[in-house]
Amino acid sequence: MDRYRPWSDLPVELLSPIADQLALIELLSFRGTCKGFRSASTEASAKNGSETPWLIFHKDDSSECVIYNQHNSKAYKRNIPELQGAICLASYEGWLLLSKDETIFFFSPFSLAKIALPNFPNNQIDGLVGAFSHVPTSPQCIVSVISSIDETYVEVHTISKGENVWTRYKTPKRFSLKTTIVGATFDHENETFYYMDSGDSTLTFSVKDKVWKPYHIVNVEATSKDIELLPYRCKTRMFRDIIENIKKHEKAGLEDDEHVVVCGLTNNDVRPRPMVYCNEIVDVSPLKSRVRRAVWIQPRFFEADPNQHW
Amino acid sequence: MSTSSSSSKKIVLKSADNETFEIDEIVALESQAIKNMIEDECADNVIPLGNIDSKTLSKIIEYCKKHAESPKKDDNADIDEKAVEDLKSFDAEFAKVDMPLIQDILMAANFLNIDNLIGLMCRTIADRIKGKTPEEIRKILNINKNDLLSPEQEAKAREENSWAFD
Repeated sequence: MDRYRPWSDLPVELLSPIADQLALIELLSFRGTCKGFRSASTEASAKNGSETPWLIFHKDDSSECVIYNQHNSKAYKRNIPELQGAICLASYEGWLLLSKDETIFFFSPFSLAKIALPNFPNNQIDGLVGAFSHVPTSPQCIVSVISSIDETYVEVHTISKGENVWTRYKTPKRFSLKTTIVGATFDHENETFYYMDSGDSTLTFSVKDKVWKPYHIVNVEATSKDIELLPYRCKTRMFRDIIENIKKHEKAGLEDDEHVVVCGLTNNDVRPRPMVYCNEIVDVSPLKSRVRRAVWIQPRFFEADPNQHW
Repeated sequence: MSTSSSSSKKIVLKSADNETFEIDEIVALESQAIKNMIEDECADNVIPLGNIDSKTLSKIIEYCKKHAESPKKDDNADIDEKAVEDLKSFDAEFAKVDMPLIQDILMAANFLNIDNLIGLMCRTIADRIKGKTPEEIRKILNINKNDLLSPEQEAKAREENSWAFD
């Protein structure tokens, strides 16, 4: 080993661990370097990168998006046609669950990979909230979307990987659950979806035994027989707290007459309990006439296989 | 957990350029490959490493010594934080070498099966190409001209990454 050989000549079993160490931008660059690096990084997803979620701003009337890394306050512009006019229902591990033109699909905005889901039975998708348990390429992935909620009933549709139709579950609206759901997440240990309202209530739905449970969220020092610990932590005003920083950013291009509808995410990299960012609606100024959409996302990459299907 | 070097069992490693290194067995055990050889009793007194030169081997031994002396994470839950910090700063110093040597260490660590060291070298390379464009990475990593992307791949890669480098 006395000669410096080109790194591209290194065996794949050494290049792949290098690719695995790269954060998103470095991975994209690495993949553009040479054939060897590109094929060694098919499985790499930038999962060892920053645990700080990024934001993607998108519009209803244009495909021009702004990708914002809040960790270093860098903003990038990119045209992402799939996000034009799309509504984001959930964000997890770098995948978005999107609704657009009456279809529901998974989308990885950095690789542009797309996985279509069977037709959703409810056309009224704006304002809905969803969650999914695993990345959509995983055979274990289960999706749930709150399809309707009013003063009497809550309705959820779920679908597991490989299924052709959505399954509907309905429960009377008990407790003081409000009709606005601001966040949803999945707890792996109990295989249970959690839906949080805009107040102090949370409704859970167990995938295993199809049991609903209403909870009232309280702040206490210690748990007792009647009090369970939430399996996640929750932030309700993550976006509101950083909007001043973003406004300063010319590239982000937030306009004074916009209000920003932000889709939250579940961040499983935060230990010991995952962090859930709730959905928010924030006025850039009190005028609030036009809508700008944004979604929190973990900066991950999943190589697009055009043939992948649900 | 430091070992007294006078009483413990010794292993001799011989580099490609015929230099020999006598080390404590516990240091050699950091290498899973050598550990297997010793356990299978197919290691002679002298283990020849025909594809690792002495410069690389001495670096590897320096790494293994330090890591063999440090308390292992899984030994007990509350190992003192100072030891962890100490090891971290050792690793950071250790990695301050040029790219050809990083490559030699990575290849040797792979051959000797030293997981931590492979990880350290991979992280180091990741750090070196941080914020660099594909063009810059090609220079840093001495990429062979005939391994460049096909025009079709190049177009795809550009679509993937151009937004990040505008």
